[in-house]
Amino acid sequence: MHAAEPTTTTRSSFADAVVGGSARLCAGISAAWIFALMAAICTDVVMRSFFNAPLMGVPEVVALSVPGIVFLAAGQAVRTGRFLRADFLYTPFLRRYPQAGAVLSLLYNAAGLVIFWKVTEGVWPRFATAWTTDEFFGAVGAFSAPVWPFMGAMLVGCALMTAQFAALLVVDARTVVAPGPTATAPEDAVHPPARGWVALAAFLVVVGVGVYALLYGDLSPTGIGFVAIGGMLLLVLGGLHIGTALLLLSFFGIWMVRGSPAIADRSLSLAALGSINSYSFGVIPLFILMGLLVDIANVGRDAFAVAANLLRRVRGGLGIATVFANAVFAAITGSSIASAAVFTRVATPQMISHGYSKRFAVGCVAGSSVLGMLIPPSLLLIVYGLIAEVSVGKLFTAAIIPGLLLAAVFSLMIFLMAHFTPGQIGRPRIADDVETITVAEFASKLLPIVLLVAAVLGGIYTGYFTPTESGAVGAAGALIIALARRSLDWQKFGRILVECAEISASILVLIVAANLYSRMLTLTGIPQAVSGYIVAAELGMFAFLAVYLLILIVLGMFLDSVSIMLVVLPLMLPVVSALGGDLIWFGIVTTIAVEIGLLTPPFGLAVYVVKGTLPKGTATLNEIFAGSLPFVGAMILVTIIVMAFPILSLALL
Amino acid sequence: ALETVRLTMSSSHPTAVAWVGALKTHVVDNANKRLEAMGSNYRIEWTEAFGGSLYDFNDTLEAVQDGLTDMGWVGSLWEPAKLPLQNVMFATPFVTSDVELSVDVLNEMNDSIPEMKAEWDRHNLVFLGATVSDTYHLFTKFPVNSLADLQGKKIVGAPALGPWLEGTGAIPVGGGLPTFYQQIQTGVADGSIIIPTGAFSLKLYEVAPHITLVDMGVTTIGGLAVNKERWESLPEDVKKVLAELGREYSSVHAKEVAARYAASLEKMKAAGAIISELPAEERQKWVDGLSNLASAWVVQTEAAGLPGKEVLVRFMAEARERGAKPLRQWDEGL
Ligand code: NA
Ligand code: NA
Repeated sequence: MHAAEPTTTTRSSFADAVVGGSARLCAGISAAWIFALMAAICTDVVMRSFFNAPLMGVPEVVALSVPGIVFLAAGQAVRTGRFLRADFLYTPFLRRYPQAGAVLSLLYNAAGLVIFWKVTEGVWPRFATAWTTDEFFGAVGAFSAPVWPFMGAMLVGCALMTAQFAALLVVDARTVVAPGPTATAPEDAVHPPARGWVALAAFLVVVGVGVYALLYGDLSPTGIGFVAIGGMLLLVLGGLHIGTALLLLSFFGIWMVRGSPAIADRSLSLAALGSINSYSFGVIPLFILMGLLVDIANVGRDAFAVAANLLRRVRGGLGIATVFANAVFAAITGSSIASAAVFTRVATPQMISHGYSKRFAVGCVAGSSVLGMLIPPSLLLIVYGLIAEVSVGKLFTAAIIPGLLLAAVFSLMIFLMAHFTPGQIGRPRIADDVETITVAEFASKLLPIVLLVAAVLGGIYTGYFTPTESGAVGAAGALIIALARRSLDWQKFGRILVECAEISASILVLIVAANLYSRMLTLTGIPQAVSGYIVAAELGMFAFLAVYLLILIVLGMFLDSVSIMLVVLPLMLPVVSALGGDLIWFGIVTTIAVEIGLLTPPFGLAVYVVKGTLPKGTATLNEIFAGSLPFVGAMILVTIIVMAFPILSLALL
Repeated sequence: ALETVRLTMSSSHPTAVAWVGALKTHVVDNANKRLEAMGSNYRIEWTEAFGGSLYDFNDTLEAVQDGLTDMGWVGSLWEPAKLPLQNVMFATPFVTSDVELSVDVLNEMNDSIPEMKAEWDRHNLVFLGATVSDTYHLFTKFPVNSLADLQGKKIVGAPALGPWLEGTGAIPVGGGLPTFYQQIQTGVADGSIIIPTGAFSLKLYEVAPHITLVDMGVTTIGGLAVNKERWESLPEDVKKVLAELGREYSSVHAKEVAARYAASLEKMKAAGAIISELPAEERQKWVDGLSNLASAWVVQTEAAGLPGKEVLVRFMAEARERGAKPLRQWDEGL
């Protein structure tokens, strides 16, 4: 999700090559495994629909496969820099102070090494038991299979992840001892190395004080919880991998609250093995795969062509067309990242060539991309559903009206800007020269989208598919479209599968970590105390929501959407329940509010993706952030409307 | 001066479930009142972690065993390998539908049969009181008036219940509780064998509106247990109060299960479900058609060196003594 950080080194050793090769191999296995699951689920759907003969055991296999798939690809995700971290402070620090930065990086990789070694240690006995006792899973008389291959995949994956951190640590150690040529950019020359060392020392002192307080402060459980929350913010903002930070703090927190490092050890393996081994988590790799395939099949370009054609006589029409095409595309993709990348390529050149200002064109693409994760299907809603333990299908249904409302507000805003503050959007010409489309072309461009939407969402809404099945069917459908359009060869397909495995791994490892972190917080009694406090203070739902929105906007400036949900929800869900709020409605509110962070500096993922996709020199980050600003305003407005009128979310349920 | 003891009480299920709700309303809420009444200097400061906030249903035993929580509900129904003797009622269907009778028998047996106590002990657990669920019925898409109606139909249920369908002509389909609704809706299954309180919360009657009261009997499903090391470290007063409350919890929650059982049938009927009773002779045919589940269970437990026969014979005797009218005498001819 972040841009890849350079982790390879010219001085790579033989050991590093072995670690890297194994990581790639295992990511390949994970990728093939995802494809096999997709095929198995689709076969099950077909067999039960047309032959009344369901494939037995598919849900059980999917459930047990998820941890294996995730940890097998996790090593490669670490290696390619996909293992999430907040790098808005970390990366500049590393660039300006290479040597101090290498020490920091070394410490971070050491932390990753230790914590994932502990996870590996915890998984080993489970594998050994499954192997020696021939443990089986399944249902009486229907289906059964051995457990050990799944445990084995987990074990290998965890070990590789540990090895990967060790490899990075070696690279860091070399840089500390013998720094390479210092940064060459002229603006970096004004940063004397001493400042880097001072900053590093100050950071380490604060961390040290926190660790001391945790270990020797004789804190009450609530006190431990607050140190764990403060420590999490500090470490995450400092650029430690978010998964590592959450696991490390959970480990120490559980140790301190329960008074035994052995319990903390066991809780690590309990979380790694037990928090994502369920059927519903299979949905994540499948929807990611579908998004990647839809992207390569140029479905987004077609949606824009149709919308631009329909709106060619409207003032600000291409801007509205971008919103419209985003809304349509959103109905088949689960991620705003895909939307931002697609429409940067498709819509920005058209808008700029028709006289829209650069700032508006790029801002419009970044802004409307948020629809991708609000209009179902949506990765964020899935993650919320998994954390809050509410039905993903219901969340999808509840998001329809708010999603359309946001699209309508965006369109109206562009329309009004074009009429009343035309300076804001440039000097657009009426776009009646965009390629006109015949009815036949119209149909051929829209048909694949319509079919995919019907299959994926229709299946979920009618209850014919589980979300996991609709992910598999959608991915298969997208694959067929991509093949029919000849936009896919074996090499590209392999690359997409591996990318899918890596992205899934980076998200799901984070979910494992956040799951343990929220268990640790539960043990400290903080959620109980906080919700008790808010209820006792008679803060009321509205004041609570106001504070909540503020917290999400601030966190959104620094963290990515999934991380915010994982960090905040364990604390907030009990409060909402205590205040009598509906968790489905709260999920929609949370999703829109969290997505504001995609557009706000310093870390706004959608903006970064737009910037990364544009040809060099088209627009600066500042221009894109500025262009997105009106969209941020519109999102805050819609969040407040959705907060104030729960019926908007609940009407279709 | 008062001394504080910190204890964590947890469960894999939310307090909306009867056997969890009473952990809160009976054990947690009454503990300090009892301590005060007996003049103890100790008070308990509870951390509550219900609804799976610490672990899910796969780990109810491990979480207490490892000390992740001090005490909590342990589901023996998911631990046939670790707590085999606790699951005797899964081998003896159609014996009783009396929930209070069932927990009384199981508590009595855990107190007096050393090997049953040892099952808990071996996993670092101290048993306080048994828990039970309501009786099993059929929820189907089609009306059931006789066993013949079940011929070739796919019936989904907990894997442990598969053998209960033997001889009925139905085909058992495995599945996790949350998937039942969809499995029936999409035709993977034609119906389910399940307890009414569970069927009600899953809204199964929407897709399988024919409720046939087969009344296969209730089963005990586990109990409230404390981490053994933690237990041994507790002051005598606290142990005494917890032991007392734990045992009371067993009957308190059983009454609650009975009340919710009746209420959920009422509500499903009001929501349009069609409720009928399986004729007595068909019910007897069902029981007689089952293979000798008890004898298979005894063979299996004895093979593991456990007194399976003693436990089963004792269970049947205790049940009959307390007024149960078993449709099949599972202890005959063992
Ligand atoms: Na979407
Ligand atoms: Na941001």
